[in-house]
Amino acid sequence: MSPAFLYLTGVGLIPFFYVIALSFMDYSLAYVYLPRVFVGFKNFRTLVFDEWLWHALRITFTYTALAVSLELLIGLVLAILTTRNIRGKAIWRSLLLVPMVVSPIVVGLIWLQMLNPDFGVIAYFLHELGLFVGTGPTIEPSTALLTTVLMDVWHWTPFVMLILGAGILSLPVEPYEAAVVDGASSWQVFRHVTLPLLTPVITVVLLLRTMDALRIFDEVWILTGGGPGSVTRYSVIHAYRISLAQFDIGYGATISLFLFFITLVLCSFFFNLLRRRK
Amino acid sequence: MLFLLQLTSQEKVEHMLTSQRKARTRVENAVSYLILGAATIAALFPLVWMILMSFKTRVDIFTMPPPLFFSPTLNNYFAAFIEKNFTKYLVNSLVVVSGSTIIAVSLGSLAAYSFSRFKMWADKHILFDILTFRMAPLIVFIIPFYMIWTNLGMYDTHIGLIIAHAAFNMPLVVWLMLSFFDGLPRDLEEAAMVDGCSRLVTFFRIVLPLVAPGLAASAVICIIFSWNEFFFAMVLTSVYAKTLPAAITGFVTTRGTLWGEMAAVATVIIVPVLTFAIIVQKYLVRGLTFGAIK
Repeated sequence: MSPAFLYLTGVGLIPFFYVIALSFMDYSLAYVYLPRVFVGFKNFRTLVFDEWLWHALRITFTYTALAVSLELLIGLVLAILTTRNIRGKAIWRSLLLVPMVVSPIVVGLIWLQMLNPDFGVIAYFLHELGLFVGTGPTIEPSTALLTTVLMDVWHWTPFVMLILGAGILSLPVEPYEAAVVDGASSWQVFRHVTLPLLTPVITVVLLLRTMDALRIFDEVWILTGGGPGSVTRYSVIHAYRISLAQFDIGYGATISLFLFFITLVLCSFFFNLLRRRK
Repeated sequence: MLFLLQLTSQEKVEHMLTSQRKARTRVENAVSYLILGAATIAALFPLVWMILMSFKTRVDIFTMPPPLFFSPTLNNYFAAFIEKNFTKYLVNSLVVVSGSTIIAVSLGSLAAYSFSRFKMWADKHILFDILTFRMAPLIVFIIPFYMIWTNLGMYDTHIGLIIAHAAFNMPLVVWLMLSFFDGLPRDLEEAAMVDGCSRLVTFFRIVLPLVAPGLAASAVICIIFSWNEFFFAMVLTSVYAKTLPAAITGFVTTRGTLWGEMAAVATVIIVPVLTFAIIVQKYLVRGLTFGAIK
């Protein structure tokens, strides 16, 4: 264990303590000639009164809730369909899982192109339908957040489908036989046999998807850059802007620590949920 | 919603189905194909569109409505990989992927073996701690990495990015390999050690070949993540060690975007990993869930 342990201590723990140290400092890369000053809890006080941060957290949670629930719903339907007795199961599954392995940055670029109001293909069809004429779904503040949610759904529903599908295939056969013998309807079998047996798998998927959605950056960064205005300025985009675009490293470190703390709380909640099941 | 039912034991209970039920199954099947077809089109259309775009001329890209037929050209690939020298970034990507995968898999599987076989102080806690490391928002590590790397002269080097990617992937390897080692009976190792093998020889000659599928699954996941990774690559590199995902954003400029060349590079990013993922599909599930689901 020790090589990996040393490695993760060096590459994980030391930077982590460094971030903690930075969060107590007034340190800006824009003024490198100024000394780093220890300022105590000043950055933490800024954080509490940072309206932008709370706005960012609010929309990040909205985004996560919408995206993850849509993905679970659609993913579950597709998982059930691709595990039924239909022709070409393996082919359907292979085709459907494709978006999942596309690099997030490429996903952002593809959607940026397709939604371009002047020559994007989706924008073209929307214009034909009389929608978003002269503008685009990512330009209108009212639809920008939903557009990023749909992009996430396109990207990650295959992941949910793949994992839930594997979960369904690993379920025991006996409960199903018993249910059929007892004359249960399809819906009853789903509601009282599949769903309860699948709960641990659904919890794992929920954990992984929630954690990934909360730290969304790449796709949205390239698609909207956090805009229009600050409608899609999700928490990591906010932290990035403060720390590495405005170079306020001290306060940026404080924000990222706070985001890490939120992850920690959510993680331990999910871990407890999983451990109780076992 | 009735068609949502899936019966694993459908064949066994076939004789119990009345003709009425068979008719319903037929309707359910038709609806299934309809939904699957629509979902497949939605999943593939954006990618097919982009791959087609990489073979279009500038004129065809900007024509509205999009032309159904066009004369394909390789100019975009030529412009990106020869004139703009994206071959260099492709090589960088390959170097970073192989380096970080080797480090993550070798160190991670050794760690997983000791977690599986020895009782250690606070081992359960350490396991969950490293998992948190993998779930945390990357920004919390990117800020110190950026500062430390610039101070150590590791900014914009291959090794700097390799270290970052390996650290990011190692927790996943530990968890995944743990699930494989735990599934292995101890008797084999004990027999080998009774016959005079040392712990290390047993590990390399007996244990490792048996968990080869696990090593493959770990490597697959590490390769895909590292190949696609953007945030670390963007912040920690600038000119020499830039990887493809970080370099591709260079096509989006304030004076407009070079869509054709962007599509060519994007195609080169996604096609290999896509082919790879479909081939190694059976490893994906276990890998992506940290070994939680087999």
